[in-house]
Amino acid sequence: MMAWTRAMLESARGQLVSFIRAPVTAILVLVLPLNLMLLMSLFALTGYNAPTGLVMDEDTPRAREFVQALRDAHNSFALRPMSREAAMEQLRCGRLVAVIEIPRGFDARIASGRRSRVQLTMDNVNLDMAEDVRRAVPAAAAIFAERLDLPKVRIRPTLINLLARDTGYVEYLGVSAVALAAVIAGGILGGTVIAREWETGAARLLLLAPAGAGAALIGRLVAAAGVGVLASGLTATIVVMGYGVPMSHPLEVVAGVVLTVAASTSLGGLVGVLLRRTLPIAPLILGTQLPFYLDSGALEPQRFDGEVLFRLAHLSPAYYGVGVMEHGYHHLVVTPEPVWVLLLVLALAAIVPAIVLGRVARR
Amino acid sequence: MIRAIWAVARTDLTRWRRSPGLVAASLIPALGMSVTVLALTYAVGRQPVALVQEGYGPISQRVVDILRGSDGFVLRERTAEQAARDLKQQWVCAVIRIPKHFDDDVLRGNAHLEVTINNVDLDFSDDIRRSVSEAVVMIDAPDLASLGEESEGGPREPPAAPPIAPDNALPGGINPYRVEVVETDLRRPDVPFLAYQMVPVLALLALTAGALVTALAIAGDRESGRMRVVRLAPVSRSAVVMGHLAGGTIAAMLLLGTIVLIAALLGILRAPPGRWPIVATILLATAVGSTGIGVLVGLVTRRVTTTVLLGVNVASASFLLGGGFTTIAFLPGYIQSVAHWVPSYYAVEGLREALFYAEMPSLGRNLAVLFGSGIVSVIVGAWLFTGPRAFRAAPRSRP
Repeated sequence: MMAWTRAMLESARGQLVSFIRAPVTAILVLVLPLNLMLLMSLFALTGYNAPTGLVMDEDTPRAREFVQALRDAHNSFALRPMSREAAMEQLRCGRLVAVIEIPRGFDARIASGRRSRVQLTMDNVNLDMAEDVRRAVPAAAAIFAERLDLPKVRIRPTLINLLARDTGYVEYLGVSAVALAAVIAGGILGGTVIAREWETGAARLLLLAPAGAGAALIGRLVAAAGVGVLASGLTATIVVMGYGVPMSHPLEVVAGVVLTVAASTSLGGLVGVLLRRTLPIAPLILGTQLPFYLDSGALEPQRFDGEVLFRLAHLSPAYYGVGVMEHGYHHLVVTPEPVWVLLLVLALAAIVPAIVLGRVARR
Repeated sequence: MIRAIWAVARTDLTRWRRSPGLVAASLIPALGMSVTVLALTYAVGRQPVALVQEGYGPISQRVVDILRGSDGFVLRERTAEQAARDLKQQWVCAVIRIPKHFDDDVLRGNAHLEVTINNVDLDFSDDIRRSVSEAVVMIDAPDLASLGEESEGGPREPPAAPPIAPDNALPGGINPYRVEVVETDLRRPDVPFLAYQMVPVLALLALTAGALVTALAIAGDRESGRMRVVRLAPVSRSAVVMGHLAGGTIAAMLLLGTIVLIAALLGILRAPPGRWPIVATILLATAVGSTGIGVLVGLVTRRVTTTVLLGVNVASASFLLGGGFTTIAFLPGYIQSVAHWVPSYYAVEGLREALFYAEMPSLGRNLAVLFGSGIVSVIVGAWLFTGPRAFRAAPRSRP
């Protein structure tokens, strides 16, 4: 056992020395998770507040009240006051989702108990955003009526939130991107270092090693996981420092990062031993894990997207990582499974593939 | 020179064709993204919501019908206990309760529809809030968001929600909100979500097939020492670089052409009349621009491992900054400025204009940038190729 451990540690040390001797590679490994996290945040930035041109033909108290209702309609509009011509031009160029025009005489008509017609012109190219706007305008009308205490509004929604406050989409997605960082960094590094053994022919020599090939390969994975943890840890720190998201449960975050990286590295190693070539590792990991990330509760609790996607999500460490991270940072429960189960699955996903890898390497 | 270009291109294509790993590397990211987009098409926008109906009067029943007709919910009728359990276990994200005396409250003008939301994040919580408000407004003012809607092709169809019978509407059919909305859409019908999201998938395909595979092919040549042999060949460096560019472009175009053809035959992608040649030109330019990036990545890196990591960084940044999951025009100005340096931005913008918009004001600029990227890559690539760095074999140490 001691010989096995010594061989494993020596292999890990050798791998770490290689990483240090190839600083460009190491830097790129550190940059990749950050890159993905920052870029995924772009998605969150356009998730709400649709850019909307606001054309006001009159500036009256009730018109301003309606504009305020639009602003308060559940983060639906980023209103940009402008002329009609400019608004239509920007709409046609795809720079606005919609244009809302408040007509002249709006105030007078409302005051006299009549209806006033608001024009909504829509670029319905992005159905998701278009539907948000279509739903938000009636919501704004309801807010408007309530604030003006207009008579004859008979039904009102009473909204009860389960949680004390909403978590911003950027903050939610930023945290889930830490799990993505861990999965991508771990998977690529694990797959690459193991595939490299076969590509260079070193795997044959490992068969002659007294401690067995398993010790050397697991040592490589340990080193890869160490660098992966460093990269993901950097990403996790930037979420705290840059995004201003404090950790509710720091130990959970640490455990989540370490185990997600460990599981991904181990699974990546298994992919590496199956492919035995470094070339397709990164595209494969990125190509499979980016979709799995979107199907992991990264955008909202995954079960909300239906049973099929929910079950599929369980195939990737991203699902378990996102569950742990959202709880660790925001104290949010986004999976039906408790955090300890998520961590346990990640631990098993780290151990079992490593054992399989050791056995496969003997052949 | 043309023979040399074709020889290099053919070699790259043959290697790509004979290497299952490379083919997989080209296809899997885009295929994975397609599947995700397909899944999101059906999942996004409709949230599972439990309905607890305690009042069964005619108005309550009509509210239920409106909620059932809403395209914001997937409604599941539950008892109060079942709904609470479903909310806890995340089978639903909200519970709507119609109280027992709802009809009486409506007649008194003081009815409340109780909605409990699992407000884990702002995005879908606001979706629910908007949809509930819309449904409530529909009860007393069904015309608010539907009647009078028009598009360029004529009036829009009425909403799916059944109309309220006049006897339950307010006297004289007065809209109590006093705001009437007339909607005019730029196009009819709406662009399906799947079609809209297919465009960045095509850009991703170009990036993986063109950029990543070409970069890996060049790096593989260097690491194996084949590049030293190429140096001895009596051909210009530009011809070699152009050969790599041509090979990657042809590979990317073959894949893009196949996917676009299938998508068009299935009716997922529909170009306006006369636009297919323009779409094909933009796809060609996209392939050239993406492959150009791959040539540069392949030439500036010395090891395959480094190439892979740089390639993945560049491909993911290009995809996401190009508008992969978002609309760049809606982002803050400084991000738009960064995105303008990424060729895939012009590819996505060009394809969206060509497929979905009546006018294409940016077509010339988009094509110029994309083809220009290819030309710049040849010039810079030839310069890199000439230097000793290009032929220095990678160190034999581990990655």
